[in-house]
Amino acid sequence: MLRTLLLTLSSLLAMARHRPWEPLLIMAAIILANAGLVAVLLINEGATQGELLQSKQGLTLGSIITPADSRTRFAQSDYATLRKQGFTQLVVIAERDITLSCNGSEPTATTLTLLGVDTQPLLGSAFRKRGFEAPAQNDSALSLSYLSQNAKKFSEMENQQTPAGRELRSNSGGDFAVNGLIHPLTNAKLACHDTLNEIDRKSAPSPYWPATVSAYVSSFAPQNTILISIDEFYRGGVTIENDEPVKPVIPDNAKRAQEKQAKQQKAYVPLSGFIALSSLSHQHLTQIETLLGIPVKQTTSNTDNDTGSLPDSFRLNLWAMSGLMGVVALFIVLNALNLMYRTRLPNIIRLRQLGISQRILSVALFTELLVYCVISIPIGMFIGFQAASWLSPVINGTFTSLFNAVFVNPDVNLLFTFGFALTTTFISLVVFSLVSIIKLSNALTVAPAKKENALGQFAVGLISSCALLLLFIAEKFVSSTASALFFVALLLLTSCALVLLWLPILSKLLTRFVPKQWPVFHYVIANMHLLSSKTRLAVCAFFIALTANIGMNTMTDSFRDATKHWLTQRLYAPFYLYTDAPLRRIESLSTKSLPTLALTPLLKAEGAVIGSHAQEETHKEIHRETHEVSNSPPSYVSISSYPVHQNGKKALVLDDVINNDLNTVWREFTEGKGVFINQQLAFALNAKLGHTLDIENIRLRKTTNSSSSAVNTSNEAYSSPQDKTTDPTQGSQSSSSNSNVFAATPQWKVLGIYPDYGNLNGQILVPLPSFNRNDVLIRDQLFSGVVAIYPEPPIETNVIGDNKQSTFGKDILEQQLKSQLGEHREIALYTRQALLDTSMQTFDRTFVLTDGLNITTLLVAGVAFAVSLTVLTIGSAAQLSVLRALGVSQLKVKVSLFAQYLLLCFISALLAIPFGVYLAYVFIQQVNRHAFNWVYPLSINAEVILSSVGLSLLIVSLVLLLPLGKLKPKIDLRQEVQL
Amino acid sequence: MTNQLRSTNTTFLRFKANIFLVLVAVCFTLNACTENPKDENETLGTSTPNGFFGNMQSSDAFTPVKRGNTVELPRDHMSHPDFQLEWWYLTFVLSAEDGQEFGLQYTLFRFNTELDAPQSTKANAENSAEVNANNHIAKNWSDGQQWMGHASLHTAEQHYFEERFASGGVGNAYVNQQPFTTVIDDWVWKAAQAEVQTGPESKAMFPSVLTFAFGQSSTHHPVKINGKIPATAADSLSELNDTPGLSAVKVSLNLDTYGPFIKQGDNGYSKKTQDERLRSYYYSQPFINAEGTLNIEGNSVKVAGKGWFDHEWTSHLANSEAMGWDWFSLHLDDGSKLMAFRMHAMNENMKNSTSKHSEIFTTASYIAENGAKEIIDQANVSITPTAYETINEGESARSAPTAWRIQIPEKDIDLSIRPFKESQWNNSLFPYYEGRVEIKGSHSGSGFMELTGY
Repeated sequence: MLRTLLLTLSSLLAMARHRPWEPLLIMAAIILANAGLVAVLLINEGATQGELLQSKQGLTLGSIITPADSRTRFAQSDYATLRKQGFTQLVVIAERDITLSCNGSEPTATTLTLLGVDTQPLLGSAFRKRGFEAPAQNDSALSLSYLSQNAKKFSEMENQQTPAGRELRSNSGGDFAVNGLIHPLTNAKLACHDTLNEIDRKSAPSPYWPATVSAYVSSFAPQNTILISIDEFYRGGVTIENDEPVKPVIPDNAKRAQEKQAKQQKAYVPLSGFIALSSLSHQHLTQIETLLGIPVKQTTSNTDNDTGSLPDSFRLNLWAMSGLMGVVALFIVLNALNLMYRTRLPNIIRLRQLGISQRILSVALFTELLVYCVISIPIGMFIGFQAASWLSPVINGTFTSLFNAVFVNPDVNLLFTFGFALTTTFISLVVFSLVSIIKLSNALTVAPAKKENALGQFAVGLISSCALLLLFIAEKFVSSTASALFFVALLLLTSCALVLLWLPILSKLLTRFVPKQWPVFHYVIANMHLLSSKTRLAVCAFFIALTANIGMNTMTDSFRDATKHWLTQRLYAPFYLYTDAPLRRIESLSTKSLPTLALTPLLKAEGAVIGSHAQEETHKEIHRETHEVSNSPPSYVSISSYPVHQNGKKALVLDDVINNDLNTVWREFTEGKGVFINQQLAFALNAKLGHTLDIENIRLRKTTNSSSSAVNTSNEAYSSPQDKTTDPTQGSQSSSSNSNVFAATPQWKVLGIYPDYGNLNGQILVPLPSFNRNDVLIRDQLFSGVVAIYPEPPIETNVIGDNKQSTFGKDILEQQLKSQLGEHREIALYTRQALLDTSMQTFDRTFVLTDGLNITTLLVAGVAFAVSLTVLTIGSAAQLSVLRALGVSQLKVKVSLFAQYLLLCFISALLAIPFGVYLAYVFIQQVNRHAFNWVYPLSINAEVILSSVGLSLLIVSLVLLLPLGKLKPKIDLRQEVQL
Repeated sequence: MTNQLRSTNTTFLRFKANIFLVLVAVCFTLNACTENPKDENETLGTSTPNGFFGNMQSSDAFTPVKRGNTVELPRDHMSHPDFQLEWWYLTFVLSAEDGQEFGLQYTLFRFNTELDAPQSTKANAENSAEVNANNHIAKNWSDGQQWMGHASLHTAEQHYFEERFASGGVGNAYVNQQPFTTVIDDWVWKAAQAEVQTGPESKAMFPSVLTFAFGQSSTHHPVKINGKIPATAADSLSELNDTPGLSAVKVSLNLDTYGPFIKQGDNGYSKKTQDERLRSYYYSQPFINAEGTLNIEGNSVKVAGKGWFDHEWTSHLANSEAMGWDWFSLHLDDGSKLMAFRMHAMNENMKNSTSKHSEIFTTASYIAENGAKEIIDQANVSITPTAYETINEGESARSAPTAWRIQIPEKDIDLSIRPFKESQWNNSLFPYYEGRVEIKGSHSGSGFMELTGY
């Protein structure tokens, strides 16, 4: 039994060796499919892990108590006082910047924050038990040995491995060991970094801190920090107070200690503040102020970096693509199997005649497939791994720039992946081989020739219009990213079915138009009609790939166009300055500079939108609506300034304007009678033009340095007048601190909706003069660090799209700015063109991935086509022989066949164009709308579509040359087997 | 140095580096720690004590406990920072007017983490030199002492427990002499009078006031923020953490004494093994009257009862030879007091052998109503477990002997000790059993039992 099986198997393998192309093709398909599968699996895994890590943050620096006056600092005794008074939720922190580099080499340097935290309170049960769902798994195993060292065991420890983490040696030596924590994402960003340098501030020398930090990877640490105990933070030359004497610690080593001290350089690092593990009420803050005798403030920042569903939809997209690739690969396998079994048929019959049972035969066939799987899956996986690691920088870039999310190099179980790939591939192979076998055995059984019951043109038309109608109806039900992608799949399948219906009809139609004077050509067309039913699978594969390709390219191109157009219009000034200088310095610039400059700063604040309602409703209804929305959490929006001068008006890109009357709207905007909101916000709130937004808690943005204060604004003062009168309960939430964000609060009426590509969050544009004009401090904090600069008076005709102002000289301006703002200020001056270029480069980089996948899909479709062609040529050998017998030259036969298939492709390509465009529309209006909350106009670019079609036809024709070249259109009677 | 780091790393390998443990390591391995890889006690559920302070290593760098150096009060109420380990231990058996019974504990521990450079190591001279160098890098934040506070209240149904840590030298954890004050954050025990008197019956420590608030409400449910259960630690912390006035239990007790301080052992020199290799300075105040209020989850209860104070400091207990102890402080109904313990120790031979048996040293102090102390030596006291309890606290189940028989024939004492309630387990960083017990037999009464190393 086993022997028979082995013999059968070896004869099958011998057949494979005899005709190696089909098995190789199968293997190639398996490799391709697996490479895609593994790459997608890895990429998705990386995205998931990155997302998980990002959501996991143990210690957040969200709420920090600092002295209100930034010049005063907390002392150690202040901390003790507060804790002794029961403020045990406060934990002191101190920070200083350090750089990490590889062997101290400059180019690799990365700046991180060394964060000293009083870790003692965190050990307490209050934190331990409440803070973490799974507290100390090994409580019992812990012992006080942590407290003390046990050098006795050193020798035994030498052979232990190092866990994940890194060892960082300070540049001032490594005289004491410190354990630190580093967030996995921060760790992922570091490569060979092993040297720790204190940031060399000009004012103070680099302190003496000879530590060796063992940084363990833990998501407890905030990102971009190395968390150590504050005890270790203040060691060596790092002290809190100026007059701290350096105490010799151990008497018998006093000499050594003194030597060390001689080398010591001191640095005074003040306490940064107290982290509040739970946020404190005003009452608490007052209590703290009384205890410490200095005013304090609580900075609360919204540290939730909500990545939303973006990485999700990215993953979904990837899965969809890999699914597509898998389907196409299966087409190849199916075709190859068909071909292989077709050619093996005579031998199989012989085997049966030799008495080998059907069961053994099928087991042998499956074993053969398994052999192919086992050989090719590892190769595929290897390629997949390579592809994933090659792609990961690109993906990383995409994630950072697009989603504000992180991507980590995934850590996957190799064995599991292999098992998964093997099972999936083998099962689908078996299923597909069954299909071919059944097809084959059907061919072997004698059946009366079926009359082809072709559907009439009318019926086909009816079915098509029904299908299209259903598709349009289905589109209305799309309400989420997932359903949008499902709709994409539905669209592809439906269009595929329609193509299969229409292809015979179209080819038949063509037959009519071809004059009979050209018999060979006529034959080609007529035969194509026949072929069209046989090449279904190949045509499907080609069609889907091409449609997807056209759809994707059109979408990307539309996006690119929209972005470029939008950017070009929005960037109205010739220069943009990015600086950390305070606004008052910037504003004094314009008067000092040689050519008078007009400066428009960008001011930003934050607010929480709790909903929107139509303005002209009755009081009752307004109340109802606000009640409704109060259930959903408020969404935080950024409130940005927008200039009210003519350039601003010109630069304004609005999708939607009340009454389509830009001039009126602009006037209202400048008068503070309304605001513009971005699409994202409009979609999220379902806000319409003319609606009024309910905004509360307007405050200053969190800035990068932690010194910005949170100014809580009362809802009463800043919500629209309507709110005040209709919903008095909201007013009662007003807090005691008053805000000065606005000089004159605008009405929150939606005057227009503008596109804001690439933004994830809601944004509101408020006229610049509405912002506070008097309070210098507030203005500095409102200032986002970006200033638009153009020569004064603005030459209106020249501002947009004219390069004249470049002659003004970027270098001159930059030097001028530097000299006026001071050398130590960080300034970056960009010309409008440079900004545009950078943006578009980023954009193009982002879509590299899509391009790669597109081409792969097309290639696979081409291969599928070629294989099915080979099968067909075997089938049509008889007809070709007749042609040859009629005296048609071999070349002519080949050319005609080539033309035939190319024509078939061409027709399906023509059909793919409308579907591709429709697909692009769905991508933009449905997928993008739901995944990203913004849409952009669809721009159909003939060039893009034609290049897609051209490329695909090129691939197909190249692929076709292969089997056609081999083709011998004559029959060798000796080989003909009587079936 | 690398050795140190590597060995620290093993900690992580073994404990699979969960967040908390990593933290612990950061905080505790102030100068880098190493750990004995062999003596991890995986055998839970056995009745053999496994070492309370585990692998903490004693060292010659700390001041040793010497026979002849007697305890002197009130001087020795103070902290002894040169010793490795020290604790001030208060336990109370309290009753409310309505008959409710309580067991209350307040403990302050001090560990010296600074002087721990072992100079006796022979293993690697170069290493130890480097280790020593460690201590020459000035410490500008703390003084190298670490403080740990435990607070525990047992009602008939509930157990409230909280553990706190603080660095010494920062200002929120210390023991002061004048007036006598122990502080860790807002847990304060403070003498009512400032004058330091001389003489053995110093009242420097008493009368005093003990105030502390701790614990988490037992009826607490996860708070939903915006309709979702808080996802991150910080989220839940912000909801659950105690802001002033939010602790479940608030204690305010006035303490006074009605008898003398008792210097245990030989004038305060207390041996824990027969050969005295484990030893400490140890004195007690078993005659404490306590009255005051307990506020438990908003319900204020007036309570009164007896208290027991122990102060002990040593540099010889925190090592792998000290496997744990079964320790009793009992208030007998005739006014006398009994302190008794069984110390489980290991010697070098035992360590090398595979057997789990340890050397047991038993001793007791019988304190008559008038304060006269009598040491009962090992031959004349028998402390035997009579029943075991399986405790499912934390993740692991363990078995501990919670019922005992203590016999001192020459005093006609034959006591049967039963726990006040089940599972009086403090699930702290170094978990141990600390609970109120009820006494029957030749005498009745109540007291406290501490079981460590299980």
